[in-house]
Formats: sequence, C-alpha cells, structure tokens
Amino acid sequence: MSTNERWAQIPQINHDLLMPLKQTSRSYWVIVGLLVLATMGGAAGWVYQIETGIGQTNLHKPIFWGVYIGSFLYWIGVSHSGTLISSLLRLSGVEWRRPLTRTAELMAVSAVLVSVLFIFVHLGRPWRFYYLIPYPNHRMIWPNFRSPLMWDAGALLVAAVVSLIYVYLPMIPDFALMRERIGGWRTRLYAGLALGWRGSQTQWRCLNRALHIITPLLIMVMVVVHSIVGWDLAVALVPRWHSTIMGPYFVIGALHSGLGMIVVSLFLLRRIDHLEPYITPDHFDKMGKWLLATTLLWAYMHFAEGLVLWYGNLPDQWLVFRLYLEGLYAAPYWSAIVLAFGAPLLALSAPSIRRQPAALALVGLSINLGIYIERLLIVIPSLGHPRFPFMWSDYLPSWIEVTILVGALAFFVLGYLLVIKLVPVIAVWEEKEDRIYGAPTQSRGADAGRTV
Amino acid sequence: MEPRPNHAAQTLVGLFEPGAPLGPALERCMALGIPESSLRVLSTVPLSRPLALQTMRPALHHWTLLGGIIGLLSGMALAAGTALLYPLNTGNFPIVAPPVIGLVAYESMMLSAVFLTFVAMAREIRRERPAPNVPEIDDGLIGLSIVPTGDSFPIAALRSALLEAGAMKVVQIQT
Repeated sequence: MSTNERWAQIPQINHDLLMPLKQTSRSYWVIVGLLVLATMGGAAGWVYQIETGIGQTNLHKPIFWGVYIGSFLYWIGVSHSGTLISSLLRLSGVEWRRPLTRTAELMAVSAVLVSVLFIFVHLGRPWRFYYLIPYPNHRMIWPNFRSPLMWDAGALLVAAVVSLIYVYLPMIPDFALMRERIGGWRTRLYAGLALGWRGSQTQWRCLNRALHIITPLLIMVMVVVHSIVGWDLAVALVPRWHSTIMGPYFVIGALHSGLGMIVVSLFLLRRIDHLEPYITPDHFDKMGKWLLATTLLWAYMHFAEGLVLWYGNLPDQWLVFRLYLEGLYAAPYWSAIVLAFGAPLLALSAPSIRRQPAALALVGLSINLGIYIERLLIVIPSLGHPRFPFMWSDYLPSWIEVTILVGALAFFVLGYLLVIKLVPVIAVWEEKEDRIYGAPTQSRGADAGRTV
Repeated sequence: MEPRPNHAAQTLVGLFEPGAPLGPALERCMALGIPESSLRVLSTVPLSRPLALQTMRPALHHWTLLGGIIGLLSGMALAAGTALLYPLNTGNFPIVAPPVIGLVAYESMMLSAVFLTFVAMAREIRRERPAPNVPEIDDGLIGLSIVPTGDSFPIAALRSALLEAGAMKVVQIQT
C-alpha cells in the first residue's frame, strides 16, 4: 500500500469513529433509562441507609467489613488494572493496542468513581469523610499516617488523579477534531478541552513527550497503589490476611479482572457502535492470550498461598482456609475457582474460541464474576473467624446492601455509556497513526489491507 | 530580532499531499523573508519524517523531576511532621516510622511528578500561536501554515511559491 493510499483511509476513519457521537439509537436511550432507574434505586437505598443508620446492613461484630468493602476491592482493582493495562501496552509499543487503550482508560475512570462511592457508602456517616483530610482544625485532629487506611486514601487520590490525566492526554487531538466536526452544545466543551490544539509538530512533540514520561510512571504508580490496597489487609493480624503475598496477589487479581472487563467492553462497544473493522477477532485473540497468562498467574498465586498455609498448619490460618475448601464457604469458593480459573483455562487454550468475540466476552464475564466472589471471600470469612471462637459469626448482605450493589453496577455501566457519547471509544488519531505507519499484516490479522 | 507575528491578519495555509516533500516549500518561504517562527507544519498525526523546520524541544522531564522532588519532600513532611506534631503511641512502633514515610512520600512524589508534567505539557500546547483550522488537514493533507509578520506580507508571492513547491491548493484564512 502506497503512502497516499494509507493516508486516503483517514476520512473514512474520521467518519466511522465519530459517527457514534452523532447518532444515537432508540435502544441506547432505553438502556440508559433503565440504568438511570437502577442507579436511582441504589441511591434511594443509600439515602434510606443514611436516614435509618448503618444498622440497616447486616454488618455486625466481628464482621464490620462486608460487601461494601469487598465491592470496593473489586472495583478499585478494575480501575487500577485499566490504567495499568493501557500503560503496559503503550510502553511496550504494540501496534494492536490502539483500539483498546481508550476502552481500558475509560473503564479505569468509571471504576474508580464506583470504588470511591463504596467508601462513602461504607462510612455510614459520609459527611465525616473530612476526617481523612489533613488540614488544621479547631479540634487539633490530624490523620494518623501510620494507619493503612490513610495509605489507601492517598492511593485512591493518586490513582484517580493520574488515571484522569492519563485518559485525558491522548484525547486532546481527538477533542480538537470533535471541536470542528461535532456541532451543538458540545462544540464549546470540546474547544475548551482541546487546549487550542491545531496539530502542529511542536504540539505533537509535546504530547508524545508527555506520554513517554508519564506512561512508565503510571505503571509504577498502579502496581504500588494496588499493592497498598492489598497491604490494607495484610498488615492486620487477621487469619489469612496477614501474608506477604497479598500485594502481588491483589495486583494479579486486578489485572485478571481488568482484562476480562476490557474484553466484555470491547465486545459490547464493537456491536453497539459497529466497530467491527477496527476491533477485529485478532484483537480478541491477543487479549485472550493475555487473559490466559493472567489466569495461570492468578492460579499460581492462589496455589502458592494455599500450599504454605497447608504446610504451615497454623490452626487459625488453616481454619479459615478449610472453610473455603470444605466448609461454609466451599460453594462460593469453588465457584470462584471454576469461574476465574477452570473455565477460562479451558476456553482460552483453544485458539478458535479466542478469536470469537462473543465467547471471549463470556469468558471475561466469568472471570469478573469469579474475581468478585473471591474478593468477598477475602474479606468476610477472615473477619468472621477471628482467633477467639466465641466471636465467630457469619454474614449475608441485607436487601439494602444488595440494592446499593446493583445501583453501583448500574452507575458504572451508565457512566460508561454516557461517556462514549462524548468521546470516541477508539483514539481517532492513534488509529490513523496505526493505519499510516503500522504494519497491516501484524496489527489487523485477517482484516489486513481491508478498506474501512 | 525577528518581526512579530501579526495575528489579526490573514494566514496562508498550503495543503500538500501526505507523501509530498515539504523542504522546497519551506525554503521558498524563507527566501521570501518569512522567518522560521512564522512557519508551522500541521498534520492529523505526528509526522515521522524529519522536517527542515526546527520544532521546539519541550523540556518536560525537568518539570517531572521538579514535581517528584516537591512531592517527595511534601510527602515526607506530611507523614513525619504529622507524627511529630501529634505523637500517638501505637504498639511498639516508633513515632516517626520510616516505612510509613516512604509509602506516603512515594504516593505524593508520583502524584506531583505526573501532575506537574501534565501542567507543563498543557502550558506548552497552549503557548502555540492560534492557527487556522482547515478541514482538509483533519482528513489527511499536510498543512504548511504561514502566519503574517510585520506589515508587509507578500501574499501573492507566497501563494505562487507554495503552488510551485507542490501544494495542492493554498487557502487564506482569517485567524
């Protein structure tokens, strides 16, 4: 393909990738309406909980962390992994990353909002959140930085800010394009966000330089801040939590669920926005291989932890682990193992399945369900079975907690659906760059040379 | 001293095929007395080939380093200072606990480094003089924009120079 032929694809790319922002189907609004209702249901549940007190939940001594904190752990993992995956792909310079990175980055921002929401829900009295903020006050109360919860608050802040910056940076040229191509009330919004971008070589150099500097920093940030989430638990002398494996275990689990969530998002966005020429089976195949790697890594971590617990045979630690294997929590535990390890391993080992977007989306869903159950199992059994047997207790979420969980899930999907009507789900300039400079046979596989 | 750009006047933009060399056009413009600072190459993707035009080298890494140092010091001050000002005895731990200071300082160092890099980049991008928008550039043509300088601006001569140098067309836009 000649240089001019490669460049000739650009008008079509502009058209295809901006079209979803200009046209909205009726079914989209129906789905948005349903999600708004579900989100409002969750919000109503939260208001009811605030009005009537945290006693509306089934949290009780010694289980003070339940599904809210379990959900926080899950969503913050999805968020951190979104940014981590995008920056890993960008840093390694793989060409096939281009249709995926924006999806991952948007997922990171939406998920961090949901995870922060769970902190506020869990607080019970959310207006007291300012106790976490270090500022001079008349009561002379300052946060105790030796508390891991303060590290976590810092990690959340860092993750939220750097994720926002990271999603925004590659959007600047696209905002400039949308400023010129999309009319109505959004024009002024895009003009402000485009920072006066005109596409001069100095501006391109600036943007690329900033991405080169920030990308490796983000990898360092995301690994550490998600480890901090794991260390929140690990530094406590609670059976099963008190383990050095918790940091890396959380990072691998987050990567596993994040990759699964990206695959599900890609499948849905591909269908909704008709992006089949851009998100090809080849992309799913490559994501499937990454997922296979994280499936094995996650299982390895799990086995490493279990082996040491079994061999050490410390009564309090082994007791909790036995509850998973054959006790009260055996059903959810083995479900999580099948959903996050067994089923994905079987499915992803077959190249023909990896190339089927629908099948891979199902695998992604399965992994996310498995990891969600696993995150709940990390929190609840350990708290419910402290070293004093007379304190042992069980826990199931109340209807208020379930309502808020469903509302939060709806809020995540709703946020994602609304954002994709404001920004293209594929970075337009990166896709153009790939078509112009990339190697078609490697990046697009079966669709190589296809005119879009 | 180079003449100052006259933003109120009209800007010329020569539009070139993506594969066309820009060197001859740049040379002809400079031969007509247009300073290098008034010439800009606009494109919808970063150009991979070298241009006979100096582009600014943004020193963003200086800001990253500065941000990192500021963040590191403030994180240390926050964690250690708080512990010293409001000492709380917890178990057998020291009041000023190095691992804790390390963690908090690391978080604030990274936050500050990334944030300052972003601010510096945004500043550099906004510092570019306003350029005209030409839809053809978004659709894949390469634009050579010439911002008028001073009072004399040889529009006709520039237009023909650009066309002779291979421009597909030349547009004149009020900036």
